[in-house]
Amino acid sequence: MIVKRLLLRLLFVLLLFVGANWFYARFMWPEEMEKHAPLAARVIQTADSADVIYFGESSNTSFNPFTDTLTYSISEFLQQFLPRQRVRDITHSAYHPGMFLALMELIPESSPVKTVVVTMNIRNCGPAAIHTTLEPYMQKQKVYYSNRMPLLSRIYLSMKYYDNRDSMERERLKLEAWRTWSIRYPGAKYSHQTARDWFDASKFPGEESGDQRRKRILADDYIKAFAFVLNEGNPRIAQFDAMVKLARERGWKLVFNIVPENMEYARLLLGEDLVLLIRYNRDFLMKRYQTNGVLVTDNLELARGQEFTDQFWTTEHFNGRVRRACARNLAAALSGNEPPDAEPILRQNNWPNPEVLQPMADTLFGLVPKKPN
Amino acid sequence: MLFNSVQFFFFLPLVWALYFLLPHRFRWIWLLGSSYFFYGYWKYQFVFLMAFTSLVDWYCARQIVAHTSQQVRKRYLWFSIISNLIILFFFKYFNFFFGHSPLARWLYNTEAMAWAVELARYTIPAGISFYTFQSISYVVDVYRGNDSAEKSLPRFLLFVSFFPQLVAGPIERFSDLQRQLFSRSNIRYENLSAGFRLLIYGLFLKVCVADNLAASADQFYGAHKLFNNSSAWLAALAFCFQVYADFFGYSLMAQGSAKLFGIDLMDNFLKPFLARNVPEFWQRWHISLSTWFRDYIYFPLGGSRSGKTRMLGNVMVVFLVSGLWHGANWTMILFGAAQGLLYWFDHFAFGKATERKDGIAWFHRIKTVFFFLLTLVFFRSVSLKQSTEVYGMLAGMPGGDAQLHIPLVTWAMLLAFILLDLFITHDRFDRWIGKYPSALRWSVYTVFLLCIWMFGGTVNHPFVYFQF
Repeated sequence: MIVKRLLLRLLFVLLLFVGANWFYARFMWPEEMEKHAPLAARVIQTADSADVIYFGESSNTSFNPFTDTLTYSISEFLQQFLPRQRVRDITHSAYHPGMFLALMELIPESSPVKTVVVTMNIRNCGPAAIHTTLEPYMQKQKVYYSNRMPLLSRIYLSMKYYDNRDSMERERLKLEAWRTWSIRYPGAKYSHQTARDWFDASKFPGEESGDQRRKRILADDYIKAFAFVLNEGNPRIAQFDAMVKLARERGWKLVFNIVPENMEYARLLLGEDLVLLIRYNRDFLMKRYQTNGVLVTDNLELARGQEFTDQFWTTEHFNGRVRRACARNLAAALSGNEPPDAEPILRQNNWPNPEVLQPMADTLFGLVPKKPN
Repeated sequence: MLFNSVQFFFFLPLVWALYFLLPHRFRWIWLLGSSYFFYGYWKYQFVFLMAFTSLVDWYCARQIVAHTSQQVRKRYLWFSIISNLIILFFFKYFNFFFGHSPLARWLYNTEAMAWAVELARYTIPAGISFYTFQSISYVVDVYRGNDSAEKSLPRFLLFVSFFPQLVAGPIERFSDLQRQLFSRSNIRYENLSAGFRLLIYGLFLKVCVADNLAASADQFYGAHKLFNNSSAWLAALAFCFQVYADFFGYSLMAQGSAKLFGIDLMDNFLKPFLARNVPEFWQRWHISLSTWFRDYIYFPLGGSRSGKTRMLGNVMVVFLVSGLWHGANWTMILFGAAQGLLYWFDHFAFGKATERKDGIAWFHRIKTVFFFLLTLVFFRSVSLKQSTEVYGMLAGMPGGDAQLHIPLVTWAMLLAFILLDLFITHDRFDRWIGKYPSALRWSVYTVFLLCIWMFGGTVNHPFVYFQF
């Protein structure tokens, strides 16, 4: 008797759910998508009219407000180099391979897309980026990057059915990684075992105050961002691997674009130790994916220190020359290392105020004399 | 695992179904395993901590009944209380008191202790304050002779870990819960019906009311300086109802989950926003904690037996401890102190007048809620500086230009909550609706389900009391 009553009620709830899903999908879903996951619709639209899709984060569209005269993104430059192909971009700041993968899965099988370029940001593979406090926001968006029933996605969102670990927990995981992840790699010349050992080590004479202290803080920032050794256990590697698998299934040509890092400042702050470590990680990625049939373009050391917009912390925001050079390398790789289809002459489209000078970190290194106050 | 998670809605039916499929003598073992799984699903390491606390308390209680010497009994009592408090202190208060001390630095630099310092700094084991208090109350009751000591350790482990009330109460007494956990129960439709009602009402309060309000409150407290004065008032209102709907919703879901197994947990809320004074408010709000403080702190301090001055002092001590219990932060201590001061204010300014039941009662009700709403600024602020600035904005000091916008859906949910909770004055909504025919009941459930599915808040917020 009880079982019958329960089953009847369960059936009612199921029917209600189906009806509610129809109503939600018909009247509320498009607006909610726009609110919670604007890129999902854009992927589907873009894929309809693209030969090449460029998945980028802030490195694609961050312009230097002090010096940039060419405010074109890497993907726009790429379109200039490949005029016979339709290059479109899907860009969202702070996105990482896990997010790109979810978006790639949304590309309809019927789309004309032949090539997918994915930004490969080495800093993104480190604990500081993996456990960023932005992650829950991205994971929330990812709930909508799926082909499941719309109402189910909505329920997942209100029931927090995603990786919703809070900022305190993420901070703890980050500290734990810095304390426990080994930074030894074959041929490493330093004695530090972990990133934390490296933080703890004294770096500059008189680092307790003044410019030396600022220099020390910047050096520690570089360690936080880059002191890790890539291996198969890294979650980003699993995400890149899944991309390779997906590209194979869909018949896409996959390109990983290793974006520039500020290697010059890394060297000035921490000597060759950090530079060699970053290069080791770059080589690991290239070796792993080039042997997997993926095109990997290496733009890691393309930019000079002064060409980065953010001088006092680590980002991949650089000026138009570097973005253009990245695009040129990509275009060359896509054309089988032949010269690109075209060498566009782009007109200046931005006129920064020459009176406003960019504060440069290299004054800290004694390369440039400090301006008198 | 949280009650408002997808996992829980698979976990609960599975545990329930197997519970009733098993022979009676195995059921409690299944419940114990399930409870530990429920707790460990979040972070398995803390399962050992809870088991350790339970083991110590079980052993001490056994020793208390085994010895006749008052001195020895007292020694075991204090050993149990102090060991509980040390663990609680380490995970909840160490960072507050010693976070930047040389001791913390030394521990962090010690290879073996670095992980523990990181844990203490960034993670509070879920529900540690709740199960520690529940466990302490058991040992004290055994010492006082109010309860007999449980002979079986596994059975005691179930008392401490019973999943519906593990992470945020209600803080149950041994005599009430233990009897029900081991008595024979069968599937009864009334229990299922009442349990389902509690679950769906609680989920509605959490997901639709609290989480939607949380989005607005978080928006304001995330950047309060940008907002104008009226936004400060809106945010105060939003947080006041958020915290109520959140914790009330959680408590209902706890009761509902237990009810499915035929177990009645105590009511934790009794329409607190209808209270006419501060003492009455705390008899209606988080009742299991208030009675715990009354029985294990206020009465041992002398209660009201040693004169008015002493009584008022005892009240202040209880509220200060209560503030500290809520969180290791000066804002929480001030929240407790403010409650104590308001208690004094009600006592001296109005005395018995607040107990009148004529029209003036509404004045006192509104006054009590208004005072509570004001003190919650301490509760919500992340620092003393922020609370000072928000109080300044509430008092009319200039803020920013932005206006906090509370969406229409949130207003609708809030209005529904006020109607369901405050306008049905003589009964709780789930009990009230339970008396009506099933067609009406299911119409209400349908509305609740549709709201939960389509209008649930999307802010990433666990239960407010989960962190305590």
